[in-house]
Parts: sequence; C-alpha cells; structure tokens
Amino acid sequence: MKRWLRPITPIIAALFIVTACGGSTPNAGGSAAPSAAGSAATSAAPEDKELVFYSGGDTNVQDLHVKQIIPAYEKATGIKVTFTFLEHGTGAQGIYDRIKAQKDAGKTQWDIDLWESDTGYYTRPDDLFLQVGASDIPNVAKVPKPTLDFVQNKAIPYRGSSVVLAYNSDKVTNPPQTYDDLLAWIKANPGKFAYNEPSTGGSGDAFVISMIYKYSDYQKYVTQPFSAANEKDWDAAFTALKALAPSLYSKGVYPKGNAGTLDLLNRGEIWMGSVWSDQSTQALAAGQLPKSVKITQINPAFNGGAAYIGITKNATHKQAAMKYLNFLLEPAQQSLIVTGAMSGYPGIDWQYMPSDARTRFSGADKEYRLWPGGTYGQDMQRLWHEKVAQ
Amino acid sequence: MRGTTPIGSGSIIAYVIALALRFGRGPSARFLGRIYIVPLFIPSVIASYAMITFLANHGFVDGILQAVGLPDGAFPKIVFDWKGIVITQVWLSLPFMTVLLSSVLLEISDSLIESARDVGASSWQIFRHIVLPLSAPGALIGVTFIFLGVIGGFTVPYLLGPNAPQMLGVSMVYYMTNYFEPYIASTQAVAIFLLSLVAAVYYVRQQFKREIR
Repeated sequence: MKRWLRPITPIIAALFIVTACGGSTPNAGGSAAPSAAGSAATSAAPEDKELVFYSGGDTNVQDLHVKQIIPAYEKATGIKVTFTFLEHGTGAQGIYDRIKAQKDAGKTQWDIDLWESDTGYYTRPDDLFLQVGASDIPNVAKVPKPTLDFVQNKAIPYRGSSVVLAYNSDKVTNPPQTYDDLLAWIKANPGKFAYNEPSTGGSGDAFVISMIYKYSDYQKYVTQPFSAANEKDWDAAFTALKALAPSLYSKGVYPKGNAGTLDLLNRGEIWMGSVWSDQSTQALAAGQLPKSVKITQINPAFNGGAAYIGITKNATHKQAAMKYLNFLLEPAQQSLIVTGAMSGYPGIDWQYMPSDARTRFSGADKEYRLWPGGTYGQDMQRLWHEKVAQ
Repeated sequence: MRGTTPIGSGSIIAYVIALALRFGRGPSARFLGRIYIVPLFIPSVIASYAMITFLANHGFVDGILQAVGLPDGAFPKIVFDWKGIVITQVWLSLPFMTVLLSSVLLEISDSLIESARDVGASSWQIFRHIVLPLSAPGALIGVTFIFLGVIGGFTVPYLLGPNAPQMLGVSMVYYMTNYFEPYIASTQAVAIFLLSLVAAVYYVRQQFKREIR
C-alpha cells in the first residue's frame, strides 16, 4: 500500500500548493483579461458581441441552458455565449471571490456578466450585483413582485418550485384547501399523513414552516432581517406539532428525505403528504408514483423558492446580459422549464403562461410563500428535533 | 442496552456460521460457505435502501405474509425503528465476523479435537472445554471491530433508524451540517472517540499478549 503511494505524495503536495496560491491571489487571475477591450465598450456601445455566463446546479440546469436556451438566444441575437458550469454549486464561493476581487481592485470591466447561484450571494453587503427593473428588462414586469423584493431586484427569478400537497385520489375526494383544513383532515384520518424529518429534506421543513407561519406573522420573515426575537413565537407551533404526532403516520414516524414521503405514498402507507412540486411531477411522469396520486396547493401556500440569475455590477457585456434575462423570461422559454424535464414553475406570473404549461401543475399553479432560511432554518430544524421528535 | 444488540447477535450468528464452516460436513455447510460472504460486496447505502423495501410495512416481506393470511397492519414496525438498525447492521457485519472467526477456528488443530474424542469426550464437551476457550480471544477481537463499525455508523441508522433517539453518528452530523453548532458536534465526536478507545485499548492489549506468548 505505502509503496505505491510514495511517488504520488509529491504530486499531491504540488497540487495543494497550486490551489492554495490560486485561492490567495485572485487579483492576479482576474486582472489580465478584460483591460484591452475595456476602453472601447465603456462608451455605452450597445452592440455586445459576447456574453460570459457562469452557472451551477444540477445537470438538468446545465441541459436547460446548454441545449435549449443558449442556442436559441445565439440564433436570435447573434451574441456568442461563453458558458461555464460547475455542478452542484461547487466553487460558488470562489467565483464570488473572483467578482469581489475585481471590485476591490477598482476594475470597471468585470469578466463575468451573468452568475446563477444560491440566492444568498446576491444580497450580501459587498454589493456586487446590479439592481434591475422593468426599464432594463421589459419582461421583469411579468415577474411577481415578492420574489424580486426578496433579493432587492439584484437578481432575476427565472424558475421555481414549491412544496405542494400530494394525495391519493382513490382515498381522498376533497383535498384540504387551507392549512387548518389539512390539520383537521390529519386528525380525522390518523396514520394517513406524513411529512419527512425537516433536516432531511425541504418538503418536511415546509410543513413545519406553515405551522410557524400559523402562529407567527409571515411578514416578519420576508420583509425584515433576521431577529432571534421572532423565534419566541415558535413555541406554540412546536407544541402544536408535538400534539399532532399521534395522528401522523405510525403515530409519529417522520420518513427520511423528500423521497421518503414519496415512497410511503407509493406503497399506499399514507394517503397524503407534503412533497416538492418538481419531484412529484417528475415521479408521476416516470411512473414512480401511481396515477391516483394528485397534487394540489393549499391557501396560503406551502413555501417554495426561485432560482435566480444576477448581472454583476460592472459587467463587461451588460446589454447582452439583460437581453439574455429578457429572452429567458419570454413565455416560450418559460414553457420549456415548465413542460420539460425540469418540471419547474415559471419565473413570470402564471397568468402569462400558455394553457398547456398551466395544466402541468393543475391545482398547484398558485404563488408560493417564501422562507428566509439561514439561521432561522438551522434553529427550526434543531428545535424540531428537541421539541417534536419522540 | 439496545446498542449492544447488533454486536451481540451479530457475533453469535457469525460464530455459529463459522463453527458450521469449520466442523460441518455435507451440502448445507458447503452452501453456507459460498453465500455467507455476499453482504460484504453490497455497500451499506444500497443495503439500507434494500432493507427498507424488504422490511417496510407494506413492503416485500409484509406483502408475502399478507398473501398467506397475515392481517393488514399486523406486521411489526421494523423500518424507522431500532430493530431496523439491528437487522441491517447484523446482516452487514456478518461476513467480516465470520471470516475472522473461521481463521480463529482453523488455528485449533484437528489432532487436539480427535484426541479428545479418542478419550471419550462428547461434542458438547469438546466445544465447551476446547473450542470455546481457544477461540474466545479471537472472537472478542472480532467483537471490538464490529463495535467500532457500529458505533461510528451513519448510513444505516440515518436511513433506517427512528427520528429520536438518534445514534451518536447521526446526531453529530445533524449538529455539524444542519444546525451549525460545531462545538456540540465536536463534543459528540470526542464521546464517540472515547467509546472507541475502550475497544482499541482492549485490542492492543490482546495483540500485546499474543506477541509475548
């Protein structure tokens, strides 16, 4: 074992040194490229010929951009897109640091125009992203305002998903319409509802969050910054959740992961559960759930989230970047997201969507509520374990 | 102590298999000798998911039992319960323990057993006074290995275990990655390490004794 390892050790050491240097001097990397092209473009010349787009996520996100949106965009505008994709957000912090380094160095022409990443990056106090509105990108007018307010207009939501209620239509003819209806249904049908353990998947969190919103004020979480004082309201919610346990699946068994709830639905163990809109729609399309399973949304809705793309503040190709986002928000492109393999919600309001896209989530095509996550999310999961899990 | 159940039952089953492999003659022992190794080639994630489908309520076993007349709902709750952890951990650690015990039993020479038989010892007496004392130290080393594997386990208790109480490994990961409380996670890591240390000290002492001999 040791013998074959020995020649590799210096290589590993060298790699470490290389990566360490790369991380510590981001200025050097960023400064070389854009300086030459810089002076020409500053005079507000709208004729951008290229666009630099960094993205991350799952491979379905990559497929959406590479196979569908970018070719159509290049054809429509003649702009060449350089697309860099890092799976599952690996290296997101590194990309952020690279943009920030260009700001700190006083550059006026940054080498990344568009960046798609976790929502939290866009609103950091470093202020690296351009605030955009309908005057820059006409289709932004079609985007629901709360999702834009959520990131202070510094990024554009272009697709989303939310937690919905899945139910077995053979057993349930009138699915609950509100959260209180749902709680009443659970108590009337003991053992037939499950939500997964919050730490293991967002669809379980959503059920707990709805309980928190029932006993606290929703506006406090979406319009104000984090405040530990808000968590005082949570005691009532956790008490209610604890009291609900005997009526849940197996008198309070919470399956593991989002897929755990889908699995119980599939086996007929439960008749109703909180699930992700995209996962359940994909599972239904793939035959992994029986056709009797239907999805619906309660009112007010379970929480969900959008995926955002932001334009960097001093992007070299601002016009091209705005054009790309406008193109992405056209109903034609939005339909690809809804009806394609992604099974996402559109970034624009449902009313602008063609009818075939709307039927894909029939019963669930409502707006979703937001959840700030972060410290709230960590505390919610910990407190759930301390106060609700038996 | 439920925690010791997988270790205890796993060791006993493995010991029986190893005895059968060492002293058994005939087709069933040969068959056992071929299949006992199978779980070793199945990663714990896959085994855990397989156990869920296999043992869940309305799962494979429940389905068969219901087909032959077990009433719906009579099947015990195994998945999402400590019983699920025990069954899966036993199943996963069986081949390793058996291999280890087989080699321990092989060290007992046939001539010793034959001479005992010549002077009229029964099978039970041979087992009680020769095989068991000679194999006990090796078997206990095997127990320490299984102990170390089970106590630090994450995958099996995470996927098959109850929501609460959690095993230390699962709880530690939650505190580290979900609640961002690294100090509590570190404390739990120390606790796991101290528990493992007990097994490690025993193992080192046993090895030391062997070398002196």
